[in-house]
Amino acid sequence: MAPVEDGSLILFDLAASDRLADGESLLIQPDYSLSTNDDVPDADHIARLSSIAIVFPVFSDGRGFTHARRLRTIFGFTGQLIADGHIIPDQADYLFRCGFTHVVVTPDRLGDWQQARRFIRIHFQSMPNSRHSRLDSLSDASSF
Amino acid sequence: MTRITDSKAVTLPVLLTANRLTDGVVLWMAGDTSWTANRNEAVAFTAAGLTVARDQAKADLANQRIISLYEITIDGTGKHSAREQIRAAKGPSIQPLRDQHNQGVSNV
Amino acid sequence: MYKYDNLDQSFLQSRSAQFRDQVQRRLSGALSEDEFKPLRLQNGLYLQLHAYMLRVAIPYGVLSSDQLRGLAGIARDFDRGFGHFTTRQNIQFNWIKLVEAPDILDRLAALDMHAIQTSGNCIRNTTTDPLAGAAHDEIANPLGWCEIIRQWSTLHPEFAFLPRKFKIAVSAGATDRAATGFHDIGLRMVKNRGGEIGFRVLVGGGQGRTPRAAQVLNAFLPTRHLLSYLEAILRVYNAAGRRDNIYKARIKILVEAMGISAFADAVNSEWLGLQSNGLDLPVAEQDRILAHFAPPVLKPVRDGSAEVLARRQADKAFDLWAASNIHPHWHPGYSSASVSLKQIGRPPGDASASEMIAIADLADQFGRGELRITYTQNIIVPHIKLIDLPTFYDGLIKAGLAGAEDALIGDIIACPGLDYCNLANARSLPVADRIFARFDDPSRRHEIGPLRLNISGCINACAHHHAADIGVLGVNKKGVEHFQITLGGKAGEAAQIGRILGPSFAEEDVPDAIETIINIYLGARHEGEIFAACLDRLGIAPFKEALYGTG
Repeated sequence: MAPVEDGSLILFDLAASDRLADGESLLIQPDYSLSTNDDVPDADHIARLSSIAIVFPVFSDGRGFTHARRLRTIFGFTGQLIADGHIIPDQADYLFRCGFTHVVVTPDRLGDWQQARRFIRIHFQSMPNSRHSRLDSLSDASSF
Repeated sequence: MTRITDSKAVTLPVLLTANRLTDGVVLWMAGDTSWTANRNEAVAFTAAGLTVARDQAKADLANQRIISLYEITIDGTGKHSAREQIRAAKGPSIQPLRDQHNQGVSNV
Repeated sequence: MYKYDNLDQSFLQSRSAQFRDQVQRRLSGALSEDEFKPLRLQNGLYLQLHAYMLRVAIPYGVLSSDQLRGLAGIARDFDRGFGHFTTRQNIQFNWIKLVEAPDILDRLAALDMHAIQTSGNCIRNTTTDPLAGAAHDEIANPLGWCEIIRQWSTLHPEFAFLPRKFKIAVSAGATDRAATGFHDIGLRMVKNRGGEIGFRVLVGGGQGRTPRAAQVLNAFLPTRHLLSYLEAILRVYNAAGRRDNIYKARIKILVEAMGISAFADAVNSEWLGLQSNGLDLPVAEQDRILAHFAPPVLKPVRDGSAEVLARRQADKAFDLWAASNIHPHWHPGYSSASVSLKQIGRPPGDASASEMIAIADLADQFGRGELRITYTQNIIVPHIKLIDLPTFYDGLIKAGLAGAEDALIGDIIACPGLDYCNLANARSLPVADRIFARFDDPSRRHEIGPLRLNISGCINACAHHHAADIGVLGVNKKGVEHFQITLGGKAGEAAQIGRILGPSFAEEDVPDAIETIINIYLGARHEGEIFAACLDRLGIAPFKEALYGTG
């Protein structure tokens, strides 16, 4: 599969709201790839993975978000979680808060992806990597 | 929709209709393949004209002019007549409530 | 009422800014219609027959008089001077332009209002008893819990792209006035033997093509676990709900396919993993929200029942109105009053901007500046002193809003139907008007007694015709609008789906058919027996016979 950028695909870092910096080596080829339609692999297998891609056949297939959250919280997966397939920039906040670290994006939409997370900064749910905005302290759940 | 009659395919006339993206107003395709909000200017296309009309409609979908494009086949069954009458009238069949401006003042 | 602070208001402003950006990107082509559609739906914007329709959220049906006046202003500035109140306690504007929608969201944000998640495959407005907080028979006030659910569900990142829409209702009264049995999740507040308050959790109810009464998922859920438990249900649904067929995508289908036992196992298994995730609110935050809904401090007042009685004896019209439109309050000197939005020539649930302002002013003058939108498309003004009821009623007369009576045959629930809606098969509004005209005499309506008559323009059943004593369903019979009649639906505790009586009727024959049904009832009823009870006793056979003869 493709290296970080091959001219047609970019790996976008959700936390940084930007493409990966030059020199950062992260292949778009993850250790494991599953579609929203698939079940997640078993716990032993997950323990051996450092990167998982979840492929959305269509952006409205919300199962990918549940996969991500289960991987993070039930299976304790701490590696890279990459969203691939048909996804739109407007999902950036949801992807990030469900635990995705990266998104495979096309160059023509990079600008929209870079802007996407600036809109909604106030949140009403406690997630491992994002606090409920009204609460004073982070929950006890570990972040990754 | 086509019917085979005397080994010649006959295309029933088709109206193209859609909504304008910016305000949702109902539109029909006119004879010059522009879009009109006036139902009386709507033209039913057949054969080669229909192909041209459809191509234009596709382009207008792609160019953010229209949404919700569909075709009405004039086949005499009247299957969509109630809905299309209401769309053509551009409003409900009942008298909507009328606001009375001299009663009460909005503080917004 | 929940008071927005800087955090809540900033959130609304940022959501509004996000939508403005999305509209711009749609107009420029950076977003396709397929990509934009779920985004605009999750800001309440539908494409309807004539224009866009904007569904503004009225969270759990509660709004302030200022907010209602603000909606009147929006109706005037952006629409055609009226709005439509819905069976989910929201308001709809029918003539919206996409290019003006961002400005409308800004105006709403300034009112602490929004259209977030009122449409789309996400968690919708949580609805409840319109008498909540003012009712005489509540175990607890459900409003605070509705607000807790609202916040938790707002832009919840895991549940923004569900298989289908998701509707939650909460009830806490001795009678279920929120139709929880017909929601995806119904929450009934109950007390356990220890006196602790919790929720009886129902799941899998719904209307539409495959109407279902909800089943009990959990007989007693302590309130502190509400959010983690809801999360477990939503997660099971999000992962396993069908996505191949929109008519089979609601949770009711999944519950039926799995069976309630297996479904409960799946939820419990998920819940075990979720309880320690910090999803349940810390007690301090929970209490902060609930404190907004503490019982109002009501001024002591002398008992006004004598005044009300005197007026009832002197004024026949007031007597009839009072018999159906006044609701008992937990404070003996107070009441809640229904403002009916049902009248001949008025689409059920519609109010003009001037009427909205008049009702808002009455709520300020006689209530506590607070109003409730009801599941039956009316407005309730809570916390009115009994002694003020006659003057309040005079105010309604002056505003032309004495209308029909709550819960009688004139109190028709009707969807907008083919006059407005893209999904409809038939028009519901003219039929509603014809039926109303046939039963135009208030005395006769009172004689008939409590009766729920609902009219849906298509099988999506937005008017909940399945849950009505008499349901009317619009169908398309070879291009002509026809109407099927059902009998025996119930929306309360023992939710029940109505049964189809027989072949459909032409529009002009519907009033006769309804009158025939009513006459059977009036002829057969026992002393004081309401329609629903009489139907239970007789079964549908005599009604079927009267309409269609021996088959």
